[in-house]
Amino acid sequence: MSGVELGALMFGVLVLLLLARVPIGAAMFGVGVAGYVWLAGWLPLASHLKNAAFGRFAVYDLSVVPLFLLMGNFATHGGLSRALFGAAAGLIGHFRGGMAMAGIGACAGFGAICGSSLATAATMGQVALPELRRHGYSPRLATGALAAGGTLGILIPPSVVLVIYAILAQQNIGKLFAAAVVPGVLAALGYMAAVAVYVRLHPGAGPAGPRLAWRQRLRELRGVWPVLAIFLTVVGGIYGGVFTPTEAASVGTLATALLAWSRGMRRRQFVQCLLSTAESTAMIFFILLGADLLNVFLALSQLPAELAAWVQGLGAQPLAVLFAILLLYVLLGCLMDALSMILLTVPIFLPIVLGLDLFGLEATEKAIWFGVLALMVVEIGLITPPVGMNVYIINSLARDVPMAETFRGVAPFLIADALRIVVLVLFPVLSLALVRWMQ
Amino acid sequence: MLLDDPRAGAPPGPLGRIVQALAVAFALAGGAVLVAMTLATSASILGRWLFSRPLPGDYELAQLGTAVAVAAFLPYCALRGGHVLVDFLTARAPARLRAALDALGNLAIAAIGFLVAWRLSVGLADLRAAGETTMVLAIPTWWAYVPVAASFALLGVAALDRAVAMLRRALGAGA
Repeated sequence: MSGVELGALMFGVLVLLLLARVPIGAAMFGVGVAGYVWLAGWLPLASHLKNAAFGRFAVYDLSVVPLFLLMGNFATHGGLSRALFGAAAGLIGHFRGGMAMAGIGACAGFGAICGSSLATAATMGQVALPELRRHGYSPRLATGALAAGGTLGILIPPSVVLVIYAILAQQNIGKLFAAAVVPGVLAALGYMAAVAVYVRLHPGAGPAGPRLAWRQRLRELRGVWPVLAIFLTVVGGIYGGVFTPTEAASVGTLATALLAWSRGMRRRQFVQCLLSTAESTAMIFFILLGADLLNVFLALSQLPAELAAWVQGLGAQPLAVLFAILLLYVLLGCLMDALSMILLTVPIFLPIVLGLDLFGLEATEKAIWFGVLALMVVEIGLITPPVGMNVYIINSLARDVPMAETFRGVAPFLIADALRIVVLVLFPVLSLALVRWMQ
Repeated sequence: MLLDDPRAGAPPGPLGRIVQALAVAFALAGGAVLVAMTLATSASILGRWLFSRPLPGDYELAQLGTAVAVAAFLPYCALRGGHVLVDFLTARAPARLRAALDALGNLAIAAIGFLVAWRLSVGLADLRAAGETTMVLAIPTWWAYVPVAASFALLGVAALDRAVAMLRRALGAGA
């Protein structure tokens, strides 16, 4: 059996293991080990494993992953979500559908200091959902808007998925964050536009809230400046070269912790923050360890290189290939979470994309742009059936709303997602302008 | 993709309390390392700005700290059933079948934990013999290997404990 055939076979075995509920990290690890032993024998593997786990974890850039998760947990316990929603609702709540738009805006704000979509959906849902219901919003619109808004947690940097992509693709984390800013803002605006269109078609779904006086608005806005300051310090500091990503994450974590403390976080919540950071960090790094073994085997099997050469030999329209890859992500998203998809596919898809002639972009720019596109498509899996985790989280907060109703409520936002992705593919400059400008 | 949720009524394993206490202790120790890292890194930035003197070795401390903290988190996550899996085919399967499959999944995690712990302890001995140290602070690298290897061993024990619990549930009188 050739290396490529073995690689393909092992991929099939991996899919079977995954469907049989084997934890994703364990399945990747097992398949990687089996394939490695087949191709190279037990001794090289045994020697690889002497340092592999330590080497995989002791990476300076990876330290930002637990730090960003800790920062997000502090933000969750610091009541920042309430301040953000209050300010957004004060500004735009008096429009028809404005409360839902405020929920989305607040999600975007929370996403600016939290790198996780599930955390964003859970926190903002707890604050905004009761408010939306109280103002007479239809359950469909209220739950749909917040489930979709939650994805902004990861679309707007800092983003844990982007950090992992940067390390896999050997790209600069700061540049990837900068590249994701405009698409992230576009995502928030697109979701708000989706609300606007929806309430025009169904005027009863999102009644206008009360209009606040400017003095009151300013008071609400004052609660939000620390969030903006932290975001600018972290993302601006990384890109401006003032901080390494780890330094920025450390400063951001410290600032968010102090902020949370000033807003009533105490020892009990602090310990809760540590434990919940422990759980999500371990989940991510266990998959990372498995993916590492799998990728060592895949590289040995030559499968990614051969596949890239084969696709190039097809002579297909480069954009058609790119769209096919993105579509595949959406389908995979029905099965897997965002991070597992990135870890599983980037070593295979990135060489293909780098081999295509796309708008004459050079390799680094292509890798950064593809990272942003991949981030956008993997996040769709969070709000599509059968297992849209954000939909589950928001729906669990509204027990009287049937799950199908929330999935229906998400539909307008999926249309916004699809349109945005097409625009981002056709105009790479949207992702790359900020990166080029800051150079 | 759903996490299998221990709060959904999974029975404790045979080692229940002890493993639980150890895993929480490891997780909190890892958390303390993480917090220490943020403080040290922030102090280093202050030092750089105020006295143009960063904390020596902040880079390698962050490296070692990440490895130690992350590994220490693993047993807690396993015990909480926090590792992601694909729930596409099995979401509507009978609870006993799911429990049986989860027992196998946990066995796989346990095998990985023990395998990696064993290989790391061999790697540790090699590094110790070679006297390898970090560049700036000259910390012997094998020191950091000790907690990491111990964490993987505890991961193995925790996953094994959960595998037994799941197996009991699969064989037990309905679920």
